[in-house]
Amino acid sequence: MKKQSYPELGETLYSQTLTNGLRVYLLPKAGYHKTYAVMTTDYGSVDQKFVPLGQSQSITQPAGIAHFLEHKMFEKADHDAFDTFAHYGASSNAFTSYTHTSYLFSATHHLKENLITLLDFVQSPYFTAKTVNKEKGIIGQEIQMYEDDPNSRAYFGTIANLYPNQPLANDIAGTLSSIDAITADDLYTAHRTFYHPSNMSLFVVGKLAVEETLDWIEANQSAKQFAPATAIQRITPTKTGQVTARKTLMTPIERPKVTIGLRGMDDLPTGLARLKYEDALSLGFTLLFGETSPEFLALYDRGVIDDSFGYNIELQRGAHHVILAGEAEDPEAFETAVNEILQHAIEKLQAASDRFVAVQREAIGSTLSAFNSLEAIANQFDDRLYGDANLFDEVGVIKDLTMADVIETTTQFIQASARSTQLILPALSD
Amino acid sequence: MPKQLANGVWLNVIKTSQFKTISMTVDFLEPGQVTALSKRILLAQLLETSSAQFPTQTALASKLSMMYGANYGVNVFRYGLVSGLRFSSTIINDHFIGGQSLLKEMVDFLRTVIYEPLTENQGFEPVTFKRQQQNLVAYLRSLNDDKQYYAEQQLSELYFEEQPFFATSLYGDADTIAGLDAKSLLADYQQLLSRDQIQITIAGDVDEAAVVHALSQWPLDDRTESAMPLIYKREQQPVRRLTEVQPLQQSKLNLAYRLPIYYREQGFYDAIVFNGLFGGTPISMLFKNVREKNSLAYYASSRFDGFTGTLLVQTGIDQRNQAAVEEIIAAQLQAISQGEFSDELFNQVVASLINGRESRQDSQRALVNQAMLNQLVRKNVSAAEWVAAIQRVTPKDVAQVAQRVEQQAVFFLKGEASK
Repeated sequence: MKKQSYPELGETLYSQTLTNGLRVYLLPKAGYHKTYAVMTTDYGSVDQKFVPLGQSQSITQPAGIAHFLEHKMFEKADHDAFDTFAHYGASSNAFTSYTHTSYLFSATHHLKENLITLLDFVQSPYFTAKTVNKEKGIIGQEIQMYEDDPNSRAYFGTIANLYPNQPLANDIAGTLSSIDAITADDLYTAHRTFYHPSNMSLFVVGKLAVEETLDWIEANQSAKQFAPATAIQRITPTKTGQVTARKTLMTPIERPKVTIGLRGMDDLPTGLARLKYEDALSLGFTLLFGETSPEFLALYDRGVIDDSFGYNIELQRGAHHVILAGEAEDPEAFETAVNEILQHAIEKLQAASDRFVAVQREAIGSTLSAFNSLEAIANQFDDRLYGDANLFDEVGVIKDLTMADVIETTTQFIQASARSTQLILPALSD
Repeated sequence: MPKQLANGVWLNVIKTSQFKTISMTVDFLEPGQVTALSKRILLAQLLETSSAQFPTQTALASKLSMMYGANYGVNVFRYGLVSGLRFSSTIINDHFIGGQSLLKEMVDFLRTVIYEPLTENQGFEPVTFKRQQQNLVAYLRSLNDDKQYYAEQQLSELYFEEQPFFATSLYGDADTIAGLDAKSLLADYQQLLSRDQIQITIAGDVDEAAVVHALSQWPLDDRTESAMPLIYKREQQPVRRLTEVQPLQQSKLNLAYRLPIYYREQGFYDAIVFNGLFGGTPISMLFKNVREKNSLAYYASSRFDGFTGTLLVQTGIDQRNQAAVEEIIAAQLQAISQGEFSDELFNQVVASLINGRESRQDSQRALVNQAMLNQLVRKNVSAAEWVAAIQRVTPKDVAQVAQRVEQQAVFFLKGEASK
């Protein structure tokens, strides 16, 4: 077992890769009453096209299948895993993103039983035509609920504009018609391929004893048979620089919403350098658009932006982008203002060096604070995206950043990026 | 142990080294009134974004950034009949940032933002006032795009028709806010500062003496300390129904019931377990039977408010299923009142509630809230005591609670997709 201390965080992380390939991480937290465990597969909504395990031809599965699979994992022939967790007092849940699917529980008692429940239910699929069809009604409702949510439409619309004709353009949950095509066999195929232990990790954090917890996990895993680990062949679409520059959606809402997306067209560095890239970019956008920036204040005081304004740096397997969004009485003024700042990013950043220490400190503080939350630690932890580096290295990375790093990364990203604007405007309903 | 700093001013320090941060809240508490509630909401918006020393968001944000991204916020809350204006701040624990002492800086910062607002000619500075007033009204408008919120708010107005204080959203009433002026709001604020009961709560790795010392610079004068009742008991009334049609994919069916059992009074823990069984947990009968078994809804849950004896149900459904969903909800209540639920489910619900309560000890914010509430009612109920009380509840107790549930209001937001 590997033991890694992070004295500046006051944390010690234990890790081990089991013989079946499952990567296990344990983070004991003194004083905590609960334990949070999350089991994650490197499989999300974008992984529609792949070569199934043991076959040679690639297939394309319906949009929304990863999310559908997540819903269906809980139900077994004679029980629901949800109830087993409940029996042991645990609350359980799951979520699907573009690139990952995660299953989790949180419990103050019966850690062993809950851990075994988690491992067992994620690793024993059970799907029938009947249960699959019933789920279509539930997920259909979920899709419809998101269709009524203008913020969700603004976000997913922007991502679709940035990546037209790619799996990223599809909503994570799919559409009513795409999920209608999903069969039990499809789910088995996806599960067999992507839920192999070598494509998964388990992160346990909170109240736990390291040796004992690892023993439980190892005993459970060594009792199960898995096909030998093989590299998964995902068929990723050829990257084209093409984006949909602009889209407008009229819908009965109260206030216009503007979302501007910047798709990174530059190649990301790997390992620790990628973490550094992400943090530098984040600091760059904070300097340009954060509350400490004079541009922010000027636009706020002019009423061009308000408290709804925000931005997000997103970096994931195969894609990275920045999303800026807000409500605006005058969408055109909002768009012009944001584009003006982006266009003059170099000069504006060069003029911002006196604010560097402040935003750097802010980033350090916010990263440290995240370590209060078991959920934040486990959910944000990604052991593949940054090579050997991860969340625990982030405070050190931010401390080492310089203003020159920030200017270089941010301007390089902006210059190489492709941009898209998604407008959601009020339509009168009759 | 809470410490009295002046008449009507209390300090509560929760010493714990569990967290990376130190969290501080300053609560100004008064018996709630409907207009005052909206005033406080605009005050929160103003005081969160400006002060004499930090007149702009930029000045405020820069100060907070230099304090390692300290959080600062002002919000309004309501516990039954009591309304609170809360200033809160969270800082990183000194030893993670090389020993720089942020505690005193935070306490001083809170003093200036609370006691030195941005004013001009005996009123709030008019440009900032106008901007924040407009922003808040605009925000209230856009809130209506959140249909779950909207349906909940409409139901609340229906159920609390005679009690506008409870019917008002915690985001405020747009018309009231639009009608406020900078001068009288400052006068109201000054009165609030001198009259309201104050509770200061700090959780983290801190020394109480250092906190008391830092607070010695605050103008914490004596004020009248009177008991503030929390509980509102609504009378039973005829059932009210309202349907509204909007061009939506999904419909929202929300129901309000009177459940005359009150916070920490007789039967309170029975009601908590009842709500967990009915719709308050993801293993509840509503979730299982409306969502899982019949595929009728994406969400279906209930919430119990012991301060007003109210049980609320919210569901997101297809508009064609309204009658069926109402029937299933009623059937769950009926089943519980006849004791028709398994021991296994009952035990799961109890275990789930205990898990939730014990887990709250891992949240600094929850610790602060609990301490504040305990002080407000002058009675401490520890996690262990709470758990023991829940464990004493029997299936029979829960059935008896269900028998006391009276339906009072139904709001249906009917979605009709526009072509």
